[in-house]
Amino acid sequence: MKRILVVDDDRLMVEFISLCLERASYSVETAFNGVDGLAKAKSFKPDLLVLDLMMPDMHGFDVCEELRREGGPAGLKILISSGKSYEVDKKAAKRLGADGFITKPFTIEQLMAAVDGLLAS
Amino acid sequence: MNRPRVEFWGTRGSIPSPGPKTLIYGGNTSCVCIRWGDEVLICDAGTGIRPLGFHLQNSGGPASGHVFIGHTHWDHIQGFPFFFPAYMPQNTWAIHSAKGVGESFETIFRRQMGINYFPVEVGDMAARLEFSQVSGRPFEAGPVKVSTIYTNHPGICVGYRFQMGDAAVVYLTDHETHWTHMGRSEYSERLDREVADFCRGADLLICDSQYTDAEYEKKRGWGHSRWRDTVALGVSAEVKRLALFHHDPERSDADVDAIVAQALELLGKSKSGVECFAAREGQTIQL
Repeated sequence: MKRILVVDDDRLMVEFISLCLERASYSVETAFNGVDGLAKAKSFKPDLLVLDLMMPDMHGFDVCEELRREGGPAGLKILISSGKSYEVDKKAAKRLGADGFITKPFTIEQLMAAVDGLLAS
Repeated sequence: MNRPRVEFWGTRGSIPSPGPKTLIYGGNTSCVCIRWGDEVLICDAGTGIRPLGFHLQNSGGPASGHVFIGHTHWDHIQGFPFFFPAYMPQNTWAIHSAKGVGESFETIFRRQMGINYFPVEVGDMAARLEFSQVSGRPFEAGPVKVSTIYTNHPGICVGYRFQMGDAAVVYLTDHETHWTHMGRSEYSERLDREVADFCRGADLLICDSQYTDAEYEKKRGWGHSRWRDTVALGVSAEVKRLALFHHDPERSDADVDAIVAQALELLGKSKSGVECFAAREGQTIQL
């Protein structure tokens, strides 16, 4: 079973994403800020990280950068999930090591297409 | 302690815009000074910080304090190399902002004074400069309680709320209203409500209002708000005073006056008690 870590300070969003992923039989772990997210990424060793950007304590860009600098779990894919849809932010995410970017709000179908696509690649 | 006083030293967005059409509202980029007792809080270091610096150094009062940078786009930092109090050894300035994309705030801030950009480096400024990165959690700047919120702007940008005794001032620029940017949805409305909650009940909200409706149609996604959405924010957040701020560099004094007239008409129809005005360089508000 593929493992997915969802990191977002928006509890409603975490609940929604987790529900979608669990229904698709993924094993899901959650964190509600960047610092905890980074720690869980190291201990839970997910195949995919669904990562918010604008979080307290540690911005999603920093989590992404830190994981890539340290190597992170082997084969880890990072999907940025953010309400920000500026092109410059998408470019920055890619530069910092993200594999995909999905703009909130998204449908279940859009989320699953992004997740399944990254895990299949 | 007395109630805070707010001084506008630069009200323009994007780039300085001096000239005969901007004599009233001013051409200097973003810089606001809040004085509360001996506390000096400066919001942004656009070109308005240069005249503010001379004023602080020459007025005999404190020339030390805090500088809060919303983000490091040029119009918010370009005045700092000319901030005279930073050259005086007896002064101390704490400079706060969020971490930038892939680089620390201090690294980015220092770079604009690198040898290829300016003849004096930050390290050669004689004042004691202490850099700190805001984390998104509330913190204290002396007796002032400071909280922050991420704004909707390209890159990483924060707005500040300063609680000074029973008085609150919110400085929120650069920010694009969520629903106009991403479309109306439960999600975008929730994000806009979070912004309103951050501003709730402030004695003064200083807020991005760079565009007219027509301009916004061409500049959606540039990270700035229409003035009418800023007015709506002021009403929804039930602030006492609203300063329309970060005027577009193309905006003449007459244009700004026309916007204020429309804003007051809008507020009149809504029967809101918000006192709205356009921030003007040289203006002082005693809360």
